[in-house]
Amino acid sequence: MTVKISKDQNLLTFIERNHEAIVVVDRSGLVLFANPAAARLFNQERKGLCGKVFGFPLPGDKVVEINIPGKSKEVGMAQMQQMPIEWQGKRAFVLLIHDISELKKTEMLKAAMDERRRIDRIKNEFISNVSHELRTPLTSVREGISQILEGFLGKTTAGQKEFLSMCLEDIDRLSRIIDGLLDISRIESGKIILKKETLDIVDLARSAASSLSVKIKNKGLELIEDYPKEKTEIYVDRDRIIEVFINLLGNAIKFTDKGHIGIFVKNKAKMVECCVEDTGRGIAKKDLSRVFVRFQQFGRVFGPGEKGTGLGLSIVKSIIELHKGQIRVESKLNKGSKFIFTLFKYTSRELFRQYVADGLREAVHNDEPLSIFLFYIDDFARVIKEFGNERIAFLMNKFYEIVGGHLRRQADLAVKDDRAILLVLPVTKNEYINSIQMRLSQALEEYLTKEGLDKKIKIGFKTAGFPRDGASADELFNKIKEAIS
Amino acid sequence: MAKKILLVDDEPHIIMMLENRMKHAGYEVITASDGQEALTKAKKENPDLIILDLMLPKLDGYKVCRMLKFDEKYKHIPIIMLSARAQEADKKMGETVGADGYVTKPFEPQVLLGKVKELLSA
Repeated sequence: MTVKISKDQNLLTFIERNHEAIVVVDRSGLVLFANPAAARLFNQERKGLCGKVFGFPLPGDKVVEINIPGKSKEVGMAQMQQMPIEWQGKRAFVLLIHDISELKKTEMLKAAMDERRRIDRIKNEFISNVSHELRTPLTSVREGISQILEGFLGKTTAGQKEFLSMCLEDIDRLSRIIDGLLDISRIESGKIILKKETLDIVDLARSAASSLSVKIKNKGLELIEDYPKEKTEIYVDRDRIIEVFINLLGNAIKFTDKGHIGIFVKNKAKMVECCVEDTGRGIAKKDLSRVFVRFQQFGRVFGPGEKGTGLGLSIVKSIIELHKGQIRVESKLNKGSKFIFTLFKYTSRELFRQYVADGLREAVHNDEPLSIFLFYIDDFARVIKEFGNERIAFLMNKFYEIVGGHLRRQADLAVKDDRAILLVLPVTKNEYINSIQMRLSQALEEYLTKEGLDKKIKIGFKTAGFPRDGASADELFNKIKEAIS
Repeated sequence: MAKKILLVDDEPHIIMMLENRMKHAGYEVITASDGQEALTKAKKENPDLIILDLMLPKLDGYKVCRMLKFDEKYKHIPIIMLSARAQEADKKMGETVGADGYVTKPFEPQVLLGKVKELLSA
């Protein structure tokens, strides 16, 4: 079939304004015509295209995929099909070129996610199988020795008892090593997703200290605690940070025979510094650089007592680094040791960004979409001048309560700062986004009206969604951040 | 009368030792070495408590637990999961299928016996 391009104005308008790229080439492959969409697609002036060699082989009867210049640095992809036409009296071809870059990008992203999930699953299965295979024989060994020791199989001599007790201790140690190794492999493979929340670090330090206070007292040691008076909020995984404190305190107790164990928290400008110190045996200078290395144990106690696994400090370091913090040790032989770790205090902007990043990671992991919403006080500088910090802080607290009251699912997350509330929700359907926005905007505005502030304070709103608006935390965050900076 | 405990594990060594342990503690013991046998014996013998391994041939421990806990006639029998799988997700799964306790292998005898006693006196 040959289509004849007529001088019909409607048809020309249709071609000129079409969002699909339309190109006409002659039989030798020279471009005779390109519509504005084609110029955009090939990132060239229309004039620059016409009269040049088109450069792509003609697809014939098939629909083919071609590479096109993509936005930014990526290569784009388009589908092209041809139809024969008559152009100014000569035979030519019209090419319809449809940009499928976005589609390809989504497909690739999905393939990458699928692959990651597959590897995750294999790794997880391997870890749990190894765990199972090692623990099962250990179970009968432990139980057998226990029963002999308890005399179920007849009387044992003092010497036999002593040796069997040692076996039992080492079986328990072996089982702790297995736990530790699995823990490390999970941390290092990124299998552990930190469940971060905004918490007072002092609560975590206190809770760790109180769980070991009896042990400290029983060893005749003094427990010294020193914390800041003000709330020291930090965005961390509660259980993991408690694990860090307990690990450090446990070491301190093990290597200290007299004096004290100290646990301190200092609230510094941009970070929180935590310290666990003891007046124990200390670590020789030559060994200091290796304390966080796996299976390095120094100053082992000769005699009874629980032996270490050589993994504790390595796990501690991994956890701190997973939180983007740092840990170091100061020690003097026979004087004592100090383990100091610092955790970054996020500014509210960085915290918002972190929430977005964490929400996104969780969403990718669960193969769920994600939306972020930002409700903010518009024209904040003027508002704060007019109403003062205190009144606005009160208002923001009210807003936070209202927003919190509207959250439905456990995975829904809200966080606030002085002027904005960020919501991270695992939904993306447009109708949900609209209804959430409507519902919350309405609730906030109702409150403003009730307080007689509706004329003076306006609520702004921004949203971004994954994968709709981007696949990285920065892409998503950039879409909303201008409203609050 | 001595309380009757059904021990389910596919490892003969563990069965032998646990049987010995439980008899010493004064319980009557019956055993099963796969999920299907466990289910049959639970229904036939009506034990006072079941100690159930998870990774079992034929029918895994989760399924055995769920089938008993969803059966009006047997759901009163307390079940302790005794498993070498120690991940949080495994314990959660145990809760989901209605287990009354979860003890990880290798176990401390006092912990297991304590749990057995607690559930039998409840």
